[in-house]
Amino acid sequence: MFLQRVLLRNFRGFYGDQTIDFAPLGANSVTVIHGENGAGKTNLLNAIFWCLTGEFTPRLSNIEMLLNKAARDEDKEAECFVEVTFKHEDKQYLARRTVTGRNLSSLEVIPLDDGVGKPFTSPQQFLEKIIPKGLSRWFFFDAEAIGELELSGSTQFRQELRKVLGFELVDRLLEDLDRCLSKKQSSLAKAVNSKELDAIQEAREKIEHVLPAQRDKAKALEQQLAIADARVSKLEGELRNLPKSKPLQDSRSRLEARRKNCVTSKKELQDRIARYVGDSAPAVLIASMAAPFQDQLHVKENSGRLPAPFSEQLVEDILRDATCVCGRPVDHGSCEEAKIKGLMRSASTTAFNQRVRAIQYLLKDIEATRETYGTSLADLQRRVETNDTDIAEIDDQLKDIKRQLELIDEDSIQTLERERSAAATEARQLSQQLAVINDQVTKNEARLRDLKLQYENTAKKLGHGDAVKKQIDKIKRLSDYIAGTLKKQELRALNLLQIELNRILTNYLTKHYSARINPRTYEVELLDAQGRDVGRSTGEGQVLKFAFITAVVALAGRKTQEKIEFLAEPTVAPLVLDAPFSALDPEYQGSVAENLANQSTQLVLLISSAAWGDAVAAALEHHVGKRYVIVSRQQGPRGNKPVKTMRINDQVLTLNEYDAERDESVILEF
Amino acid sequence: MSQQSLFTAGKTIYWPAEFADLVSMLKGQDSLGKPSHPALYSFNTGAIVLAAIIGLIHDRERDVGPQRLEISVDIFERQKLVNSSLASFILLIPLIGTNDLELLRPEREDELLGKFQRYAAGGLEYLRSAMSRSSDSTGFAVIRAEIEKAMMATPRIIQAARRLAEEEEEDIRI
Repeated sequence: MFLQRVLLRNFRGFYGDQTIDFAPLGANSVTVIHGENGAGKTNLLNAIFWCLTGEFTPRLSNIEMLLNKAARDEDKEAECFVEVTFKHEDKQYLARRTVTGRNLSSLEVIPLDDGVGKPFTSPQQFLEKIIPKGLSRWFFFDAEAIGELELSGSTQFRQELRKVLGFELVDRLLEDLDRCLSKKQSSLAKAVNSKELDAIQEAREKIEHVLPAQRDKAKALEQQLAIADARVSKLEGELRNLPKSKPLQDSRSRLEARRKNCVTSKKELQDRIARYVGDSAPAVLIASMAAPFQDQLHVKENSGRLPAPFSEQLVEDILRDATCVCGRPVDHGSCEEAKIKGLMRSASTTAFNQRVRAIQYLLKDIEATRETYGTSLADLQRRVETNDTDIAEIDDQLKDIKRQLELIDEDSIQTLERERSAAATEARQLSQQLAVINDQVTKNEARLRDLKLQYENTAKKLGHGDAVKKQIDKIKRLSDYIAGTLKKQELRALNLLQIELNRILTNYLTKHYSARINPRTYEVELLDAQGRDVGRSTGEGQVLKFAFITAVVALAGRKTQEKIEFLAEPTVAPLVLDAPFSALDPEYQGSVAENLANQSTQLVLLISSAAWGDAVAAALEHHVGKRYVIVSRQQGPRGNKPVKTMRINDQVLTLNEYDAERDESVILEF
Repeated sequence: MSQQSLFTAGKTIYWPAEFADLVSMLKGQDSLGKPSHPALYSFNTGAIVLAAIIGLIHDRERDVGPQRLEISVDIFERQKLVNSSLASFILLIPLIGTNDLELLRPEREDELLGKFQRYAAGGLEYLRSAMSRSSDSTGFAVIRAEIEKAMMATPRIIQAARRLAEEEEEDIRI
């Protein structure tokens, strides 16, 4: 897909028709759209994203209000739509999504070659063929929220990445095979008429019935939580922009950062406690039973000891040579040989003594561990309590800040604080619900696996040689084969993604850092030259996230050296980024910008003047084919309010105007 | 302490595959292997030793069964509790269970390992049942409760053991 044009009619802050013609493909295929905070960059990104997918990015608030307010005041029947003209595989199309009611819209996709063609009957399916659902949010990325991009291997992240890698279909196939297997096993249980098998099968079917719904619920909750979290941070950002609430919001941010640290150290302490209990448990549990053995071992070690200077070797030599040290024969099968062998059975040989000594050392360690267990554990628990007290104190201070914010005599602040509070409560509740449902899913998955094993063992015991067994074996073999092949392909795909990611990181970073993707959890770690995890909250961690988006887009477009068998058709689509770079350390902004331009087929950047620094300008200027500015117009006089400008190639752009006919955002070509 | 191996090279400890999730749980992981709660153990070895001790103190033994997972004894030897290797527990647990010191003889090694495996399998089964009854599915609360019981019981057991030892001495004198 290559974007050619977007037309917005009365979409959110944009009154009337606003158009952007994107830079054509070629050397200067980057389109830059400048705009200050609140001018409408996120609205513009969402206009394109919504038109093509019917969805919004998580940070966008009030998604039910799409029709521009001024247009609605003038005419309640005013139209609100977004039209995207694009080319795909050398054919031109027009996608138009129109608001038809609260949270309702209609989509039309029309082929434009040879005049205006007939609209497609399944327009969304057509668009999803071009950009699969799981991929779209990577191509239309709200980079202002890049901090919230979760690379720690959440279920949602893993699922999305699996979609990107094209494994969704194979996953579904395996689920279907599992269902087939379950059905066959059910018929087998009936055929062999075993109550035990019946009971296992019934328990299994019950779980299989509820588990998909639980998984879907968890997925939905994760998405809702991401939206609620994004909303909290957006509202806090707005509170920080107002002079009266800024100091309090800043204090809140500091306290929340401290609280986060306290929670992290509490977690670390809990980890230490668990590890300590785990390490000590064998010793403490066995201490009382082991203690009486100390003396027995000592007696045993000494009682059968061979006197020095004799050794086992000497005895072995006597038996081998069939001659004693005194010269008497020790013939094979003789009573002398039997006597020596008998003595050896009760003698303390080296191996035996080594084991006895190992146990003696262990008994000492057990005793030492048991003696210190109580006090060491109590010490760790006291530290957790201190941490809890700190958290409680911070919570009190946070409540106080909330009260102070509510007392500020300014409607906008009170409204923002109310909304923030509601969003934070919602996020907390969602998080709790998610924890509960995830726990249920984990328990049910474990139980299911257990029941499957039980079933197999019981079925084996009963024995069955009929046609059903053959069918079961067939399905199992097929399932195992596909699962095995999928595993190999998955590892290969993750490896390719890791190679791509590291290639990009090499271009971005001055330090010798590399990325590693955990094949089990899909967690993405950033490692220093010594292989130590440097964490994702560092400046380099932010760069990792940009690199990751670029790597995913490159992989989706199969811009890699190697191919992955299960990967669906390559997805070549524009990369549209809202407000990138502001989240990055200045030292990395230039290299990230340059790379984004080089990696993507078409790049559309929505960017503020603050983020358009010298490094970014130097990196991108020679790639820019089209440039627009979103001007924010306000009703009412300017008063003391500032007029913001930015200088591009010795020309000055005005970014906001006053005394306007209405509050609106206007897109102007520059 | 000697670095020489306590066991013949290539020996393996087997444990029932049906408890793989439980062992993951003790390692702080959910069913996908993703860290989900504080881990009692970093490796399977720690969880298996714990299970064998639980099997021993609750007198629970069972067969490993055909669906089995394995850990080389070398791995137990490389991991430590204070100064001792975890492999020492493979010696001690069957010893306590049988009260037969002769089990330490190299020629009875397979018997010793078999006994350890049976306790481990029995202990895993006991833990699964205890964890399913507990409000905490991670195993932490169950282990803490077992430790509490052991700490409370220690003085009585020690007294009983001393009494037994005294009686034995008395018998020898007679």
